[in-house]
Amino acid sequence: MRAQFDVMGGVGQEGMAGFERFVQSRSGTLLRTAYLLSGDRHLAEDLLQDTLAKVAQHWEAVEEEGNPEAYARTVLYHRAVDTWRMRLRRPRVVGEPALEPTDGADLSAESERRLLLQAALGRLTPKQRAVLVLRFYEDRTEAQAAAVLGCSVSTVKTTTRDALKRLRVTAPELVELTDRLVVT
Amino acid sequence: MGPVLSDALADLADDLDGPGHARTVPDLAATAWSRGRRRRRRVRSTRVALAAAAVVAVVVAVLPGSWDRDALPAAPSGSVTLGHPVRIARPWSVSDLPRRGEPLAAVALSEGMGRNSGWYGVTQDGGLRRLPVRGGFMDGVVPALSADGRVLGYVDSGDGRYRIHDVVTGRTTTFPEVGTTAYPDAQHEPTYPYGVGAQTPGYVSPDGTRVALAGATTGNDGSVAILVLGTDGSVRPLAADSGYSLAGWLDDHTVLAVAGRDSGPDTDLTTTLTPVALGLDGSVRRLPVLRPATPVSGFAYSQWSPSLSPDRRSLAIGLGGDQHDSGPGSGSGSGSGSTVLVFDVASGREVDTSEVASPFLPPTTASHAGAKHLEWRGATWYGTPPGEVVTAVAPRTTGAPALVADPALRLGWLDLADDALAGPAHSSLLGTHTGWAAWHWRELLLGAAALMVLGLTRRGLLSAAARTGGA
Repeated sequence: MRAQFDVMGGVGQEGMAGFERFVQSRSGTLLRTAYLLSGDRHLAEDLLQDTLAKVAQHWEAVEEEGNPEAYARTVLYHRAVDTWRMRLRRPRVVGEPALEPTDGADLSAESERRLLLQAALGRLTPKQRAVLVLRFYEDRTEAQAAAVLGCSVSTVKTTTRDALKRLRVTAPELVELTDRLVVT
Repeated sequence: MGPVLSDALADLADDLDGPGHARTVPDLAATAWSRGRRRRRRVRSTRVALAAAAVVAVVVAVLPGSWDRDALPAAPSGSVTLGHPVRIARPWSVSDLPRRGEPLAAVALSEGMGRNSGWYGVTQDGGLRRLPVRGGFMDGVVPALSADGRVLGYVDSGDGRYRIHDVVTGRTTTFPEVGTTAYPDAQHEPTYPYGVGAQTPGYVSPDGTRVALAGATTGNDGSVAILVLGTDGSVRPLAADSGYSLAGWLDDHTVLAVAGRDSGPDTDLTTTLTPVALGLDGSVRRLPVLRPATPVSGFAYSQWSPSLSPDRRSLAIGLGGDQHDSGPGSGSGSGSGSTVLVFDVASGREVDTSEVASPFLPPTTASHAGAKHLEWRGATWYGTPPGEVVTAVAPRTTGAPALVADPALRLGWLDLADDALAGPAHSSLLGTHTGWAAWHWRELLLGAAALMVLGLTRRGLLSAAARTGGA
C-alpha cells in the first residue's frame, strides 16, 4: 500500500512516515477541538479526517514551513465554520443533544452543566463557537484568534461578545461560567 | 471561586475520552493520506487543463482567422481576395464600422443585441461592426453590399439620406435628393425628390461605382421605378414603369428588371414575366419571356423575387405554395412556397428547378428573403428553429456548414458578398461547432480563471494564517 502511494503520489515513503508521526502525536488534541467545534463525536471525526486530508494534500509545503499543527488548526477552524460541507454529508442539526437526560438518572451537577453547555454551544453560529473555543479552550489571544480565523481583531471581539451574550440568554443556568468574562 | 468557561469546555472535551473513539491512528493517517493525495492529483490535473485551455484561448484570440480552409469554387467575379468567416459570435462589446478598413464579408441584421440590435457589417474573420443604418428590416432600407465587399449602400441613420460608402478608402457619397420614405419619414412631407421605401434591396454594380434601387418620386406621380446612384453623386431615374421589379445588374451599364403581367380570372396571379434590360443611356430592351418547362399557375413576384445570379446569366423566381398574395408590386411574395425555377436570361428557357426552404415568405420572417441571395451562391441555410434565425450557411454541394452564427445574435438577415463564400474561409480552432460551450468559451474561461484566482488567494490566506496562528 505504501508503494502505491509512492507511485501514484510521487511522494517518498519518508513523507508518508512523517505525516503518520504527525497524526500519531496531534490527532487526539485536534479531535478534542473538533468535538467542541462540531458538538458531535462522529462529526468531529469527519471534520478531523477532512482536515488531515487537506494537510496531506499539501504535506511537503506544510512540513517545510515547520509547523504542521498550526496549518492543521487553521484548516480545522475554517472547515468548522464552513458548516455547509458537513451538512451536505450528514444532514442533521449539529450539536443539539437532548436537554433532559433520557434515562432518568440522577445526574451530578457537573454532568448537568456539561449537557447544558453542549446544548447552548449548539445554538451558537459556527463562527461564534469557533471564537469561544479559540479564546477560552485554547486560550488564544484575540489577535491569534483573528489570525487563525482570517478576520480582524475587532471581528473577534464582536463575535466573542455576541457569543457570550447568547450563551447567557439561552442558558441562564450557566451564568456562573460567563459572568466574570469581560470582552473589551 | 466557581468554574469558568475554559474549565467547562475542557470538561466537555473530556467526553471524548470515553468509549467510542474506535478509529486507530494508522487507519486515520492512511485514509487521510490517500484522500489528500487523490485531491492533490485532481487539483493538479485541473490546473493543467485550465492552463492548456488558457493557452488555446490566447492563441484563438491573438490569431483570429489564421487558418484558411480550402476555398469553395472560384468566385463568379474572379476576385480571390475576399473571404468569409466560419464563425460569427456575439461580441462582448460593440464597435462601429471604422471609416477605413477591410472589405466586409456580409451584411447582417441582429435582433439579439439588446439596445445595440440593428444592422452590422461582418468582417472576414467574423467580427461585427455596427452600421449607421436607419431602421430595421421592416421599417428600413436593406443595405446593399458589392460583390467584393468594398462598397456599401445604405440610408443613413442621421439624416435619412442615401449614402454610398467605400469601406476601404473611407470615401462616402451622400445623395441629398434621395431619402427613405419608410417610417417614420413617411409621416412627414419629404423634402427630397426621390424616395426609397422600406424593405427595398439595393444592388451594387459589378464595378462598384453605382447602386440600383427601386424608388419613386416623392410627388404625386410616383413615376420612377428604378434609380441608379453613382459614386460621382449622380442620380439617374431609369424607368417610368412602376410594374418593374429590379433584379440586379447585367453589366456595368445595364440593369435587369422584370415586368409582370396578370392574366386569367384571378388577378392576384402573375403568370407572365418579361425581363427587361435597362441601359444607363436610356435604352430599353425586352428580353425573351420566361417560359417554364411545365405550366405553372403563378409566380411569387416581389422585390425579392426574381433574383439575378451573380454570374448574371440566370434568373430565379419562386413559385408560391399559396399564390393569392403575390400580385405585381405587392412586395410580399406569398405563402410558404419552396420551389424556385431558374431561367436562362438570354433565351427565357427554364434550365433548373430547385427546392429551397421557403425563400419568398412574407417579410415578417426576414431571413427568408435573405435566403434567396444565399441560394444563388450555391448555398442553402437553416435556422434554429427553422425559418426564424439564420444560424448557418451550408453549400448545397456538401451540405456541411461553411459558416455558423451564434443563435444569441438572432440574425434575421445575413447577406454575404458575392465573392465571400467562394473565397478563403477564415477559421478558428472551434471550427463550425455549435454547442453551448462553443459559443460561451470566453465566459467559461473567465469563470475558471476567477475560480483559480479565488483558490490561490484562499490558499495564500490559509498559509499566511497558519504561519501567524502557529506563532
